[in-house]
Amino acid sequence: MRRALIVDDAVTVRLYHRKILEEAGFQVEEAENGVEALEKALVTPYDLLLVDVNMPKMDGYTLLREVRSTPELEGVPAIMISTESEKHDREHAYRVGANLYLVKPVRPEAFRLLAALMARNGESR
Amino acid sequence: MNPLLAEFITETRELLERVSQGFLVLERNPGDAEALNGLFRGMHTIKGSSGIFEELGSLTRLVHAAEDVLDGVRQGQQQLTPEGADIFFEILDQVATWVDELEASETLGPGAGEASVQLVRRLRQWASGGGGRAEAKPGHEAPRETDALPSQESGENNEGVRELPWAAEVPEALRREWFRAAAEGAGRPVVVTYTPDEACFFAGDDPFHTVRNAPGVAWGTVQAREPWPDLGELDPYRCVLEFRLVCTAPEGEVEEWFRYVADQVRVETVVPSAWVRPTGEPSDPEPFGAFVHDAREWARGGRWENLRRAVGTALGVAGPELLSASALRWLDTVLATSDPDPGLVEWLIECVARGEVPPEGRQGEAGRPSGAGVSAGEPAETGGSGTSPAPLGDGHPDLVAAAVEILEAQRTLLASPVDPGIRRGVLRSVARVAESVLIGVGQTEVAARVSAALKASQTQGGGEPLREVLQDALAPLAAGLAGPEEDEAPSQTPAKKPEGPVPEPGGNGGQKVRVLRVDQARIDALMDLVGELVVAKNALPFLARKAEDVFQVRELAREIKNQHAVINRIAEELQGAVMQVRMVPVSHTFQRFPRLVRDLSRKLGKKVRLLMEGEETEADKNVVEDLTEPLVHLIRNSMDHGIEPPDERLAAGKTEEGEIRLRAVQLDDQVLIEVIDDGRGMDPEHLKRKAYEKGILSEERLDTITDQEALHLIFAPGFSTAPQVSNVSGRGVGMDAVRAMVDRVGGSVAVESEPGRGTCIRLSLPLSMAVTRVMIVEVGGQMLGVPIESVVETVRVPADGIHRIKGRETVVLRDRLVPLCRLGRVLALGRETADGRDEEAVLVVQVGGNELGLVVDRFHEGVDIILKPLEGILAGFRLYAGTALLGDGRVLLVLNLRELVACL
Repeated sequence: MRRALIVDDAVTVRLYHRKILEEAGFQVEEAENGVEALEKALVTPYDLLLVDVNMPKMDGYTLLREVRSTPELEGVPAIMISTESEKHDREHAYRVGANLYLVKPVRPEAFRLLAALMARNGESR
Repeated sequence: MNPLLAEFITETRELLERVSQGFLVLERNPGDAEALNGLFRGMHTIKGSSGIFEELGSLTRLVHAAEDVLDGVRQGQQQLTPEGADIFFEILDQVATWVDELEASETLGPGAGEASVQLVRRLRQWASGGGGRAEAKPGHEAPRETDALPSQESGENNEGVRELPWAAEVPEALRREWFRAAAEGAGRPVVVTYTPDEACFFAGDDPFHTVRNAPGVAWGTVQAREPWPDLGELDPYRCVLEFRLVCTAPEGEVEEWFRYVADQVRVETVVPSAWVRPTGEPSDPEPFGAFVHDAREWARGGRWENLRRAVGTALGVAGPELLSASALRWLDTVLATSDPDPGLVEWLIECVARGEVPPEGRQGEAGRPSGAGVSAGEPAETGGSGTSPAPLGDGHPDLVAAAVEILEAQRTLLASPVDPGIRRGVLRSVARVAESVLIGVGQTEVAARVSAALKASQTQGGGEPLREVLQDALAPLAAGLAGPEEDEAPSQTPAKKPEGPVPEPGGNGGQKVRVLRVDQARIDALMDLVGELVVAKNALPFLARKAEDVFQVRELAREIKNQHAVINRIAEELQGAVMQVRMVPVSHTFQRFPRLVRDLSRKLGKKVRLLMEGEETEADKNVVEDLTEPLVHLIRNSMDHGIEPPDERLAAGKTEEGEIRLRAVQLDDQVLIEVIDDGRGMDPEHLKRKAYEKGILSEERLDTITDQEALHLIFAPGFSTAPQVSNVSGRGVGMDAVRAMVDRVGGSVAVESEPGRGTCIRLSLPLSMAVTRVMIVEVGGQMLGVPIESVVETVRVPADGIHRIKGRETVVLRDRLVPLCRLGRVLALGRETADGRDEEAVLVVQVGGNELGLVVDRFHEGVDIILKPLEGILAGFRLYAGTALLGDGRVLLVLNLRELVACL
């Protein structure tokens, strides 16, 4: 089964995204901040990361940069999701290696499809 | 309740608490970047979560605005003044209120939109240097201020329904009036669409009555939702009507009126321009040719005055029933507003020019596309690069659109200037995503090229080969050439390489759940059961005695006793364990006081520092919750009556800033909570005089009352020492409430005070209220319970050891004078002639800081009971704290010692 990791400091948001991702066929785990996410990702190979921007301890930008520069993790598909719809926020996300930038709140149907499409198969070289 | 909403409520409460603390820290320490960041993030998180719920728009907008302004503070563009903090606190309070409402009814109250807009307005005013006065003149702020709001989020003027297909049904004069009123900021009418349930007649609804009496109905219509059938087939009990109303009453009032049928009613505000719709007979545009020519010129140049004069002239020659004339009248109305909308004006000119309403709809309208629809509706933004190509017409347009969106994003990512350090990871992730998407939409051939392109990209160090593959993939998709071969069933993975054993789902079983959130009701239920168990086990000793005395089976009696010991131990451990679960730190309650002290100091013009100690001390959740209100009273009281104004303090040689200490300490099975101030203290003589004047103290008591007892007078109902009633405290109810609460949970309160130096009020509360331990005494054949925490000792006093001092029976116990109270007499239970005894059993108890000896017939054992307060007509009988069921089924009356003392 494909695994997704939701990284967000808001319980409600995690719960909301968890439901959608589970409907999309993911086995979902959660982390409250970048540090926790990194720890988990180093143990479990995820097929998709869903990363919030603003978080305590380590924010989403830093997390993504860490992921992309860590050989074991570097290729994992990552969606950055934020409340900001400004152009520069979007650009910032791509600069740190996000594969997709979404603005909260996401529409469940659209998000389900995007997530499922992005991580259809397991780890591929 | 929807679990997501429940989670939101819990989370938001925690965040609000944290944010509010952040503000307090920040106020004391304006440079504290960490506090600022923390509270910014808190606001941000609340906004993010509330955004999930469409119906919480008002809350989201308010928090968003707060976050915006805070960002300004964070960037150093803005200083957080006390006035600003006041507004932020108000916002937090408002959000907290809404969260409460959500918990109660799962919706925001009717006034939410209004409240949100008001607060946002004030916040922006403060942020833009207007000082954020609460009493901003309402007339001034209507249209302009809202323009200052971020137009995407909360511009009130842009909020509401934009297109009203049936607007033309409403008489033009009415619409013009509403438009005018709305444009002048005098409020806009509310549109109500009421679609009664088909079975509404059976529910007792009377839609016509409801509609006719709705507040401020200005216009209304009713029609059938479906064509009427033949009369023979008509079912008169099925309601197929739809009502449309326009009401001029405030939205909240209208919603309130329709609250019983809220699910069948849509209440919406309408943007003013939705009313603008020329009606009338299509006309020959020819006569207006010259006007139209000039009008277009003026409209382009914004010369509204000229245009308006020309409109007046043209109106003079147009037949009033014509559509052109109607358009001209509308032009006149629109031009009469202070800031005409150019788009609207042009559109109306176009109507005049054609003699009919242009079919392509209206443009302009403050630059917003008219297709935006009801703004409260679906969140339109799903992010991505926004490319939504023409559907393939193959049955999976959504899938293809999603694929295009993702692939476009990969192109963007490849084109982004990323650090060299993450270059390799980015390329790999792009390849992985692209491959996944391409297989997902059936472009297996292109997908097969991905890994080669990745290798090429890696060696070249650029993304060009990958970009080409993406390009090749996107072209047919976007052009709608390649139909996907499989439909959206992402779970069936195409036969790729099933590499290695898939890690087991339980592979991450190393982590364990650390915290469990449990509904309090469940724990309460558990606690109740434990309580019952504790009482039920009390039956065993009775049973043992019965076995021995009645049935003469000593062996069995002993076994029962042994078993009782075992069950007793388990029950106690169980009780302890459950109680442990219910323990929460008092910080839950303490948290709110910094805010209270801050607000009160500002109101009272005093300087006060609050020190808190022992916040980690734990007690039963109920005790901690019940603690809040009395502590509020105590702290208010200290701030109002205790702490002196700064000048008075300086004159008395004290520091300008007063100090209140809030301390919690656990002592055995009690929690001590102390409120200590270094204010002016209390003078017992003054209190006595005051109490006498108020008739609380009789003349003879005035002489006998001790200073210690006098201090306790502040807890008497109706006692207030404040020379004048301030708006903070001093109506003489607060301290009374404190004692009532303390009594209710079976605690006690003590007062120490030194005039000029300060006051300390100490509450002793039980750790838990669920199970009480009482000592049983017997008086006149009646069993009575006395709360064990009041019991000091049991003694037997020889009859000649009792002396009469100041008219009261008193004994001397180890150098202490202890007044006696003959329970039998006071409660009218005993034969008063029991005096022949040569020694008396005396239970010494402590009440309100004083000792008292209760003369009883006999002492019995201590038992655990669950105290049930007296109910109904007996509730007024305050001598008894309540009743409890004993193990043998008898009812035990438990004494309320404080009341007993009061009636001595």
